[in-house]
Amino acid sequence: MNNIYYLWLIPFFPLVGFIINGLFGKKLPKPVIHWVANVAVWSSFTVAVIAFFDLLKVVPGQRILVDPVYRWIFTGGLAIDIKFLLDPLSAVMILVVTGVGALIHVYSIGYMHDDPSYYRYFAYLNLFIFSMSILVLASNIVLMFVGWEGVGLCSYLLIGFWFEDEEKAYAGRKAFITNRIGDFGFILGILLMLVIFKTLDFVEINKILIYHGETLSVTALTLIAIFLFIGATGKSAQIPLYVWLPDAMAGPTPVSALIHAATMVTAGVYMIGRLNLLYAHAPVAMAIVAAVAGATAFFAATMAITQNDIKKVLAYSTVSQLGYMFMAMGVGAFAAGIFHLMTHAFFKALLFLGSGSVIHAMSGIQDMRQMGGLKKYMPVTYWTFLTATLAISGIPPFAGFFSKDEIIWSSFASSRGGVVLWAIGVITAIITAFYMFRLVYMTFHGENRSPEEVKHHIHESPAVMTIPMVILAILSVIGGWVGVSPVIGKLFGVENSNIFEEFLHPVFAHAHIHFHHYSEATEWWFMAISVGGALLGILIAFYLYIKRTDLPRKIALKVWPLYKLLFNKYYVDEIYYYLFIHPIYLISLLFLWRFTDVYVIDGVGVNGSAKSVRFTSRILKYWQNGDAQVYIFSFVLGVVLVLGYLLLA
Amino acid sequence: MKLDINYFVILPQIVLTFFFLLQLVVDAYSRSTGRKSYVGYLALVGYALLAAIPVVVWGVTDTGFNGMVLFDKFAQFMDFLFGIVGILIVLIAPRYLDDVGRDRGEFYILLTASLLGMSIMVSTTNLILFLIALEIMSLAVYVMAGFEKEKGRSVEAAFKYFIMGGVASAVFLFGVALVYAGTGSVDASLIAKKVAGCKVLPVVLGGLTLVLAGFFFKIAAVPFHMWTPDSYEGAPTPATAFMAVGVKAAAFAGLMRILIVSVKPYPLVIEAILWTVAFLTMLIGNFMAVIQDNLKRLLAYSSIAHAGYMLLGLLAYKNGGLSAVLFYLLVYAFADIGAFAVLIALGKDGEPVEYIDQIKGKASIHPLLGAAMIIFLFSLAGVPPTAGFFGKLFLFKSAISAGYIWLAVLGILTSVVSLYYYLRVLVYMYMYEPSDVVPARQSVSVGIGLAVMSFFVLYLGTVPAKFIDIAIDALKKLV
Repeated sequence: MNNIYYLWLIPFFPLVGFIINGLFGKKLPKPVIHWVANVAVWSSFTVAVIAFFDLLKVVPGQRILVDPVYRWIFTGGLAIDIKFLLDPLSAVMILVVTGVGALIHVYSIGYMHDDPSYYRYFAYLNLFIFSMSILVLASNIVLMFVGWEGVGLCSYLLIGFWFEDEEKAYAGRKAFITNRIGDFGFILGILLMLVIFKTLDFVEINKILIYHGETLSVTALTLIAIFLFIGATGKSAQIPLYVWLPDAMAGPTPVSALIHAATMVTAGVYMIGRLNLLYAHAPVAMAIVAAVAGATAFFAATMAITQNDIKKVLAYSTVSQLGYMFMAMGVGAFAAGIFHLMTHAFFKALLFLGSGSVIHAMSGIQDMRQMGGLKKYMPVTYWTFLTATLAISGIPPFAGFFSKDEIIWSSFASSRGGVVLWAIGVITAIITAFYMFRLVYMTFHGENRSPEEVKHHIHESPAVMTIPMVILAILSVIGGWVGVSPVIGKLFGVENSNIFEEFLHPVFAHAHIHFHHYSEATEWWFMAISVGGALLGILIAFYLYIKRTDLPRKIALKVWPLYKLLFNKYYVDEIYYYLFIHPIYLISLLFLWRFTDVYVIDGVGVNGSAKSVRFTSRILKYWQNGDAQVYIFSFVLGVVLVLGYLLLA
Repeated sequence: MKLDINYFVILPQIVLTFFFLLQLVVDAYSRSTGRKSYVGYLALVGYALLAAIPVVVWGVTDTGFNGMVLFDKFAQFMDFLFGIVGILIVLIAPRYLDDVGRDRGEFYILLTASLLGMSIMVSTTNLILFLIALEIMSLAVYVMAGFEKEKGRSVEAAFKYFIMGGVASAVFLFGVALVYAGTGSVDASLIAKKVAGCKVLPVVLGGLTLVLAGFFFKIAAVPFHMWTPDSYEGAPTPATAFMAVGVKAAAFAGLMRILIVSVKPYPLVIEAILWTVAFLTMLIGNFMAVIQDNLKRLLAYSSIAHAGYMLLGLLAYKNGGLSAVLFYLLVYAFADIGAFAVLIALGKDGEPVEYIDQIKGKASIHPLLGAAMIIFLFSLAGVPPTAGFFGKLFLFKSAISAGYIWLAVLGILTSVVSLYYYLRVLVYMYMYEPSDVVPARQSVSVGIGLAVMSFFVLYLGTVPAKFIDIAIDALKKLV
């Protein structure tokens, strides 16, 4: 294991940016604020790129570089280091985080231009990059948890960024509390890990699993994996804790792009990737992951169909795509999951930035029913948005095709997958293509339906916003070409076309997940089915929203109960309210607050003990009366007592 | 016997003596020419050298003067600490002395003298030499306490401290006499050889107990603490800070060395005495601080309480308690001088800060001072991520692993009590309207001092491991 002594710079720069803007931002002029923030995150990105190339210099099998900064906690047998770890997995992730983060920092200059809390926004954004790079580079799970909580905090702060609006502040709280439920699972996982492995260092844990994996209790490993996955369902918005993500759209749109689409929400996927060996040793836990992921992918996609808020559609789409990634993790196609994580970061960030550009042009309107025909007003936004849409729909040769197809294929071919998962994957792909093109058609095509006063404001966004979008659009096209499936590669005469998987291979090599072998023809057929499904989805959307725009209403009326069920998102929020929130609220109010807190803790505990302390002190005060004689008497008394004790003993 | 003269082992003392004399001359000279005296700057150079010597020679150990002077890592660690404390006091003192119209060079000369005493105290196991060093330190500190000679309470502080100190020295000396009577030696290491293997004579134990009482006086442990609040309150604030940190550190270091070297393992009775005193000190120190409205008195009781915590480490010497004490002394030095420094910085010409009413709402006028005060008081209370948290953690941890669970529990509970009175100070600073909005005069040296101290309180809280390792290293030979 080699050392890489500059890795700490990656979290360091944004931390400095956060401190400068956080402490002094109020008094700084706007250009200084965004320059500080941008320079910080671009520096991190530069360091990440340098680190990536240094990693490539190492022989593939030994690509684990560490930066031991210092020992943080040590008590008894437990030692926790502030130590950063760079291996192919964290290298990919840190490039995505700092790269997409840097682009969105640039975009934000334009988007947040008129906001009075400019400095606060950029300070939080830097803090987020700091926390996220801690999460990604952590070499032990406690440090990862520090980043995990840090990004949660930033997410909360940025969702409720416009906290004067009660509803937005509420959305922030909802996100935070829902995540806390997941974090509880995560903490239990960490503790159990400590009990089983006696260490929390990823490298050490992997060593134990490789050499003594069979001697460990499968039940315990399964429990750890499930606990950690509960944490992941919170952070990465999976069933049952996904409910916060749609509401998280209350935050500024670049935040939705960065935190709630490209980076933070993928932390759960990354965590499973980090601990792939642990999950491989716990097949039951992996099956649970795959099942939950499949269900999430499908249900979230159906909920996206009926949404009219442009960001809400994207939010459900994110939940659904995260489902795909977890599905890959669940069937043991770890590289495919991380691959989709990366391509998704490109195109979903772009989709959000595009929607932000639209919202910016529409003076804040987010309802697609009031849009339409924006194509001619904002060509750059349109074409980049369309690129991303084709990517997410899985149309070749766009990035999403390669990653999504690999997941769908693996869910069939893996020994831990099956035909059911595969079917869910394909059906979800059809729905995805449908709702994404529904979005495009409703927003950019057809007649413009916006109010008059908005209409003449509609304009293309400034270059500071469109340039990041164009860069992401390019990535959404070519980003998938690093992971081309061998059957396609052969067609073009390229050996080892899946560079991405090869690069990540050392990280996942020890998991030994078995994949069934099928003929190339089978693989081609499956590919044709998923592409055909995507085209089918686009066709339906085209028919309903371009050709026969009267039909959607009629269909909705015909299947009204189903439509209503989808429109109200299966009433999950309401169910949670009556099942959990309301009872907990009542218990808190009557028992925990009025009785326990007010009476027992405040009355007897706090005030009671405070009173008794004060009372004792007042009595003792008479002893301390300022007389030197009394002091000497006390001194001598002390000596006498000490000697008296000696005599008695 | 040949006299074993070794100048290397008394290097710190030579430096201090040199600067002491230099300061005297320069002060007298500038007085006669009517120019402002710059002995404070001289002091800074001298103390910086004092702190630098251990860093340079770290690990090079030697003994001299027929074993009377030990220049080991322990002494070096303490010399370093004294150098830092000296520098900090010089940084914060001029502002206060100027406010009360007593900015005179003697203060720094006395400071050098007492540091000289302290530096000898930690490098000997010879009880007579120790007592002389103790007196060198104490006499200078008595004068520093009464430095505001026009102020009644300052004189009272000096006088009470002096009388009580006299009694303590008498008891200490009597103890030494008894030890000598029992063992025929006044050197702790020889005492250890004499008592090793056989039953400790009652007369030796009695002597040691009296020596212990003398120490308890200097570290302000209950019931030998009565002078502390009065002296701390009346003394000039920088002198108070020095008494609370420097004198206490020197006394603790001396106690550690002599106790560990002379009797180890502790006889049951010594253990029982330490236990009881630690118990009382934590309890009474913290409880009495609750009702104080005078901030210097409050910090006096808080310093008593801290002595109680550190006694836990002394009890748990087998389980890393001593290194915890050394670490604690370092942490406590920054946080406690820091808290006094904030009081100094908030003071005004002719009216230094003393009462809690005087700091009402000051955080809104001086946000940086407010922030610094949060850091220092949180550290004193033991709230992470400040250094104080780790200081307490190591102490309580060692106490628990040594089996003193109930004392540790009491320590934790009384820390909770301490949170009340520390937070009360912050409540006054932050949650009240300021009575007057005229900002206090700015002082560069206090500002530098505060910045350094806040930095180290946070730094030691982030990388405690490095320093606890140094502390463990410093104690290797001793334990």
